Amino acid sequence: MSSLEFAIGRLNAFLAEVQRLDECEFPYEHSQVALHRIRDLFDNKLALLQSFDSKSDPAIVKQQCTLSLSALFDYVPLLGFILRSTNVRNAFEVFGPLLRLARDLLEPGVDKSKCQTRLVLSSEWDYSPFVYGEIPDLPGFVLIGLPAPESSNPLLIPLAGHELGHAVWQKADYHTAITPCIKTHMLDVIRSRWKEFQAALPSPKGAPVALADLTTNMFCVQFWQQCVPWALRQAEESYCDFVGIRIFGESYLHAFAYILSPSTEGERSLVYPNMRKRVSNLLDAASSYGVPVPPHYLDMFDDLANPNLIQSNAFLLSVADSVLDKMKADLIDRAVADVNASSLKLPSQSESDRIFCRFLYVVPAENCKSLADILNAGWRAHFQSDLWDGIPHVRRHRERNLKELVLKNFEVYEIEQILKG
Amino acid sequence: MGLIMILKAERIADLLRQGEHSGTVDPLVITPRPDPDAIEATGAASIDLRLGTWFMTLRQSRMTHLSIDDSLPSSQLTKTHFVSFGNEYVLHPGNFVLSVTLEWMRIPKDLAAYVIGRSSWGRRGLIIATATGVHPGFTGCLTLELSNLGELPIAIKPGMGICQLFFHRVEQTGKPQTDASQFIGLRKPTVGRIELDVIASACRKIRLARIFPATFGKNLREDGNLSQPGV
Repeated sequence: MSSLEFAIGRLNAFLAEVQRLDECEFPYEHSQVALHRIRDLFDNKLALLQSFDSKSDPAIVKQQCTLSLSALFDYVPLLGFILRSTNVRNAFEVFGPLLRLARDLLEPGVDKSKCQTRLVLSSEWDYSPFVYGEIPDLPGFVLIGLPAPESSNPLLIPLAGHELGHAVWQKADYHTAITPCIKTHMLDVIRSRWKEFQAALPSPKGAPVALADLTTNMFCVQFWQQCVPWALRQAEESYCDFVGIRIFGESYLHAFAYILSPSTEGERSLVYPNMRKRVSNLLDAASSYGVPVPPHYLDMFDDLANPNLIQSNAFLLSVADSVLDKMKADLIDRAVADVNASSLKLPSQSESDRIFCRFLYVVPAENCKSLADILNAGWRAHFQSDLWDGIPHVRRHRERNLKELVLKNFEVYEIEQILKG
Repeated sequence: MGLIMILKAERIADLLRQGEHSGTVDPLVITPRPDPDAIEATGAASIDLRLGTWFMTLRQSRMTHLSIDDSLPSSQLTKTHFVSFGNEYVLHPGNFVLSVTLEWMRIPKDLAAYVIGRSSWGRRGLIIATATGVHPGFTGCLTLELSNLGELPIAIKPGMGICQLFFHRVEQTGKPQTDASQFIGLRKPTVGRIELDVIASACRKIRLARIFPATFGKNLREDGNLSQPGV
């Protein structure tokens, strides 16, 4: 047996599984299209491996076997995600409205019939929602998944706004655009904390680094650049939160708190601001956008423990945190500009009030303007303590009935959009 | 007691128009809303309802039979399917499937309704419910029982007209009249539970006591009846 035989065997097994999945009942064709793309990708990989013979360069054969194995690690979880997109636990009614929203946001101004954005709406066997970024071999696909136990909970749909934020971030190539800005802020922070920087710099040999050498001394540059990716990811995650709240308004805050408060155990991540800082930034964005903030919202969250870092890395993390503070206003503005560039209707208090009034009668509203208005009305109903008190048989299954009503309202909204063409 | 009248199209249309006003205390609402003018123009005594997107089939490969002794949750008894707009569900001859109306409705306390199949479908072998009563105070989507008694498979699509609803006035007695059933407020079809009355419960216990005397036989008398009938 050889590594090549094993690699071919693995790819054949993978493709057989793809074939089995292809027999599922796909409620929407986008999941199946994604599956076919993956099948084509792995067909090509298999064909390449099968083209090798005894005369092939062993180094190239080995390299391709390694690449095919890496691809399996990447794509097997994705097959599971696609399989779960067919599960009837999912809130299928939101597929159409969410796809329209994604296309409005990612392809502003493009004729609806020519939009390329595709959506795979699924569920995760992981309590962290939305773990997939854009897959390089599946361009144009947005993957959204709620934790499996919550995948039929329509009130958590605003969290999809965060995931769509990642898609906008990638499409706008903010990674490239924002990195120089981050470096500038980072150097400003380091200059203002120069003594701390010198103390944190791991035992330089020779003469101490001078402030003038901050951007020229390679040892020095290499040190502070370690935290550029942390600051960049913190900026991306914060931007995605801002996009979420800009699109969905108050319902984003409620969904965020539902899934994340008070906090998880363990250490904070280097690529997110610590929880209370994250929430504080979110509330700043809410204030900037005119979104009402629920009372005592920040109190619902606790910070996570700081990671056990060596002194130099602890300093760098604090620098990354400070950079985010300096970037925050710009990120809030970018989220506004990007959402405003689309044809999305922003949340409207009067509209959500109107929908809420229909919910009091236990009926979906018609002629809704946006998904956000339905969700804001849904959350308002959720918090209305005397909701349906006068209708005991509806009140008895209050939470279930509210979710059913919101989901039906998504469908009514979608039917109206279809009729509008 | 007055005559129970079937509502005419123009009366149904009026009620739907009134339901649009937020001040109406106990409105008739059907969503997506049928066009009241179009209803009025038909002159019929009913309104048409359309097929929804959710379907439910019995798990034939898992169940040997259905019995009132079973208290299985519906998820073990049935399999749910979703068919998006533009796609179809093929109902083969002899097959039975539950579905729902596309319309979510709210029936006021002074109305009741009956679901009747459409004759155009019936003549093609598709039978839609036998006589589904919709009680005052009902809200949600109606579960429909669809069966193909014809000889050819029938492709049914969400959004197509599937049945009609006849409304009746309900006699007002002063007591609250609302549908307190388990089917309230749902958007998917449901099989529901079979509720046993006193006699059926006692019969079930006798049967269980004979099969499992150690567990259920304490109250079983020598004559085969329960010492505490109705328990």
